[in-house]
Order: sequence, then structure tokens, then C-alpha cells
Amino acid sequence: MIQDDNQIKKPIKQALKEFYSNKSLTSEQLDRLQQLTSQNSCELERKPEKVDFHDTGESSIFSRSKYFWLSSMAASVMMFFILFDNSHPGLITSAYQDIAKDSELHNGLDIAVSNWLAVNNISPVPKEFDIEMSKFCQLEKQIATHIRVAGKSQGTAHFFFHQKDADLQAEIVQGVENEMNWKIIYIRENISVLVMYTQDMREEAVQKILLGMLPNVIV
Amino acid sequence: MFDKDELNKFYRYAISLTQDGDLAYDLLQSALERYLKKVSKAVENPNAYLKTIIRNLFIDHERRKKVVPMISMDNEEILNSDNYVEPTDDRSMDDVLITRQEALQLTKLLTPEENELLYLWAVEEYSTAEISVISQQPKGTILSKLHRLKKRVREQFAADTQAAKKG
Repeated sequence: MIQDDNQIKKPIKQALKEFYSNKSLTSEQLDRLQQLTSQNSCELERKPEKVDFHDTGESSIFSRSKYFWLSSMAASVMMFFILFDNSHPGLITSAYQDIAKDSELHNGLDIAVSNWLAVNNISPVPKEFDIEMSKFCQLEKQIATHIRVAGKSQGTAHFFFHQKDADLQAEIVQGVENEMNWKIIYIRENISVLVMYTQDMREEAVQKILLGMLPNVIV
Repeated sequence: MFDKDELNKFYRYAISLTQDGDLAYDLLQSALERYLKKVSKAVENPNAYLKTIIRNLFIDHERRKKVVPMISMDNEEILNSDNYVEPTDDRSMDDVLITRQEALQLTKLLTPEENELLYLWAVEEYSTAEISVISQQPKGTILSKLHRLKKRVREQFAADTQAAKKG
């Protein structure tokens, strides 16, 4: 009697390879995907180039943010006036109050906050920066994760990860509140980060922290 | 750009995460769209790069469904240390014999993260360093997870394997 191939015991690697080899795209699916890639392939070069692997394409918001930050200051100022018309979003005011309330707290990186970052696919703060304080807080009745990071030599930055899309539609908006710079950056669905930093904090340092924590932003 | 074999490999990788052909196809299509839209410069390792996009899209999809997160919480702090390496015995699971039917059962038994790990190790035969790059987790974490996964699979199927050898 011939034994059914499905019932023959094989080394696990071989069995799994055979199991997955049966899973293939249909010719129709393959055609669609190849059509999709061929439409765009002429725009991309396949020439190998050293690229930071963590820059996985999803982080292009930051590539765009670099342009915004470095080359569109005038546009940002205009956007600020257009969007806020002398009134500050409640989120910023709420965050500022939280910063003031916890200014004396120095608990470093809280384990619960560390777990929250991991669960939400947010990388740790780059090691060269000190985390002075971390905790959960409420911003406009929404739970947020607040991390205070010291600049290398001067300044302080606050990161509020906010589990809703923020009440602002633009991908990056920014302004100044009580002598603190702020930006709101959309990370992905249901999560945004509000960054507030003192004016003596270097812009490059803030950007370095953001790029370290969010290498895989999906817009 | 990507040939049929590569597209099928991506599809199988997506299946290892989703265990669902339709969802795997949707993930792959979305990942390719993102790849094409966002990549303005050449990438050193497009295959690993696209797999990472598929993985992140899957995590987002699961989060929208409010399913238990991919990243397991047990001993996460210790596991996340790059210096932490558990002893592993790569051959220990090669001895385990299973049927194709049991392979199907196994994929249903494991979490998406475990299935992904098993797929990358067994089917793609990736090293822990390569898996570490795709999953963006420290190598030590991958080694530990792989070690625990192997232990779990051995416990599940070792008795059958021994019986088969005797038989």
C-alpha cells in the first residue's frame, strides 16, 4: 500500500518547506503584482548603495520632515498662522501643564513605559541621551506616554506619544508655546507624537532622538 | 524588480505571519506599494527591506484589530539586551520528525511571531543575525526566542518522533 505523502514523517525543516511551497500566488495575483512593480521599476535604481537599514522606507516621513525642518521654515511659519490663528491647541497647553507638574520628577525610564514603547513598535531613546523622567499622563482626557530627555550638553525635550491621530490633520505642525518649541508628528494610525523642547535644545539632537525612536514610521 | 520566485517568497513570509492567503496577498500588495512609493534611493538589501515593511504592516493590522501584540512581554527587559544569549543547539530541532499535516497543525498552534521565526529559520534558513535585521530586534532576543520555540516544538513532537524511530 502506498503511503500518503502527507502522512510521511520528515525532518521539521523539510516538512515546513514542503508545507510552505504549496502556498503560492495564483498566476492572476502574480500578474497584478508584477504589473504593479514594473510600472514603477523605471523610477528606482537597483544600484547598491549604503543605506541605514533601519531607514526602511516607512520612515520617509522623516525624510520629508528634514525638508520641512531645514528648507521650509517660511512655509511652516505661514502654516502656523493659518492653522492656529493666535489660539493654541488644547493639547499643547495640556502638555505644558504636565511638563510643569512633573518638573521635579526624576525616575528615569519606567519599566511600564519601556514595555509600552516595545508593544507600540517604538525603539528606545538613543543611548547617548539621558532619560530624566517617563510616565503615563493624560492630555485632554487621553492617555499619553510622556518621556523627558536631556540634551547632551543643554536643553530638554519632552515626547508625548498620544494614542489618537491628534486633532490636527497636517502631518507635521509646529509652533512655540511659553518659550518652548513644539511639533506634532503623525506616526501611524492612532498614534502621534508631540515633541516639546526648550529653545536651548539643539534641533539636530531632537531630530536624532526622533529618528532613533521611530525608524519605521508608516504614514 | 522582483521576479516570481521572490514574490512567492514574500507571499509565504506574509502567510507565516497571517496564516491567511487573502490577507497575506493584501499585505504583500500594500508593502510593494509602499516600497515603490517611498523608496527614492537604492536599497542594499531589498528582500529584507520589503519583509520588514510586510512585518510592520502586519503589526499595524493586528493593532487595529486590537489583538495581542506581536512582541511578547515575558522577560522582555532581559531579552532585549544585546549581551544576553542563551545557549542554543541548532541541531536539536532538526531531529524532530513531523508530517505535512502536523506542519499545518503546528502553524495553527503557534503565535504569529513564533510562526514568523520558524518560517525564517526553517524555510528561508536565515541566520539569527538576518532574522534580527528583518524583525528589528536584538540578536540576543532572537536567539532566546528561537531557543524557547525549539523547546516548545520538541515537547510537542519529540514523543512522536521517538515512537516513529522505534517503530
